[in-house]
Amino acid sequence: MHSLAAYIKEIRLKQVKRELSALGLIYSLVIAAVLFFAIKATVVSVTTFRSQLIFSLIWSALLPTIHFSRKDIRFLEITKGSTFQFLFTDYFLLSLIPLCILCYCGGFIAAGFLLTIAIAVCFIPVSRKSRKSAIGESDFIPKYLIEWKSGVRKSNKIVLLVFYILAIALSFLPFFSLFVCWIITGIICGFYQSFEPRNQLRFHHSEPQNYLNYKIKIAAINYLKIIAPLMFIYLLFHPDQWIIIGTALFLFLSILVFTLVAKYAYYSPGETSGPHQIYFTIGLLSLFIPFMVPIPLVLTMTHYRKAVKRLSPYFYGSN
Amino acid sequence: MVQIENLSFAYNKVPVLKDISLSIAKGAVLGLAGLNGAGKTTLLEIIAGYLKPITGSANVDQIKCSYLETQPFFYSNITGKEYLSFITRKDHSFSIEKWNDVFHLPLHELIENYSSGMKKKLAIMGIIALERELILLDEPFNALDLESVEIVKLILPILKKQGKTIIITSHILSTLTDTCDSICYLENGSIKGIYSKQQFPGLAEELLSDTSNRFQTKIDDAFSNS
Repeated sequence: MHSLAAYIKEIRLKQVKRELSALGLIYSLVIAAVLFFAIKATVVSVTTFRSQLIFSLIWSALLPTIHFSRKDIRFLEITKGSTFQFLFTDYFLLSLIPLCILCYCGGFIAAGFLLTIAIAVCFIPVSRKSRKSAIGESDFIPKYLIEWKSGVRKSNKIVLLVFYILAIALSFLPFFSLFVCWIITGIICGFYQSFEPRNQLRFHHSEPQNYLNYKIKIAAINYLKIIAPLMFIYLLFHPDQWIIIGTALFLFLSILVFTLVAKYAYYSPGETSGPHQIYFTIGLLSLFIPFMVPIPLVLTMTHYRKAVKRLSPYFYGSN
Repeated sequence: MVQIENLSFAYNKVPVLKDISLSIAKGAVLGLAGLNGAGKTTLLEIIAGYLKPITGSANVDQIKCSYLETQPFFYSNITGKEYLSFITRKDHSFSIEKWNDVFHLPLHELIENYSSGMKKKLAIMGIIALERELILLDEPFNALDLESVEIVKLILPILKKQGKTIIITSHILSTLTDTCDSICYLENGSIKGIYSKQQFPGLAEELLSDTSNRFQTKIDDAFSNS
């Protein structure tokens, strides 16, 4: 008989396999290559105690985030006796690669810290979601931006506001505003992670291409309304960086467009996750690995047709 | 309105629909009945154009069609009102307030706080708001309370009068006889027969007594071992 840990490992492996098979061989290889270079770049970077600790801290922050957004609370309640084992196996698997990297680079203290956090997080009680209220929230967002309405509620508008104010207030610091813009871009791209109901696709448009173009257009325009003022204020403080600012804006926008196109390329109504979420992560991280910078642009071009094709049955039918 | 000819479909080479031929006139209300796995939802999804038949054809103008899923899903963090406002076109006559007088939903609350019955009612309101010519309803009565079942039963004839073509699947046989002009019974992916609402109660009774006879011994056996 399987132990619980072995059982969870098996489930997670099957999930990874399923996601990769949905992506296809070529894109799985692309992801494997990206992962390889990312690991290689990390190994080169985490040589000092300070960098090891920062790396460990970033991963440590990820674990509570996942812990509090778990959707398997009911299941955990049923398997109450083994909750710790269940959670720890999950978090250990998640931390396995960074732990290996840290140990390889001799960062045993940082690895120990990460492991301690992984254990500690398991003891934090996960309560079931309380009834949320919608009063007043996201009323300021136009009704056609339904993903943003949903996303702002999910992401907590106070956090968004704090980021925004910080980006303005600390514009005089080099690159700080750009980094915050990157975070805001990530949050906004996150709005496009769930699929809309099938009927919703055909409300205002009769062709998939029109629908896709419309979605890209309204997303880009509203994104620029938010990001452009930040970039402009940053430009006032750092006029010599105009090329960097312009390039960053272009790349951020391309990540947003890519996220949208990838979502519809893998449109699967009723599902909560899909390969597009892997692309979303790749798109967001691409800015930090030099050779990956053009990836969102290239993948947008290759996935645009795929998205139109994927949406076609929902507009014209497959018959 | 809907013309299906020699249609077959399989999931991973397992046949689900076999040689289905069906014709549904404009303004007709057709019920689809059958056991779980008989192919009702698959047939609806092919009519809606979401699935491609392996052989045969379904001649339907999909752009004029709306589809109510068995378990409707929505963006989780939006309110019922936001959902309906999004899907209501300015040139349509649908009034959210008037229709909510009928269904009594807490439209200012987030949909994720809704019960499954409330979600179903919201989805039905969405289908009405869409104002499409062909309406496909997959288990519309599931999860609905008695009052809402009666409301839907009152709405369907009005939609029919407006010239809409409606296809309904349901396990509650009485709801089909109450609302449909004819009922198509699917068995193992094939059409067993198309019955008028007068003929169908007889068939339903026959099916029920057959089920009782076949399963009574098996159930007794299972209990004796447990």
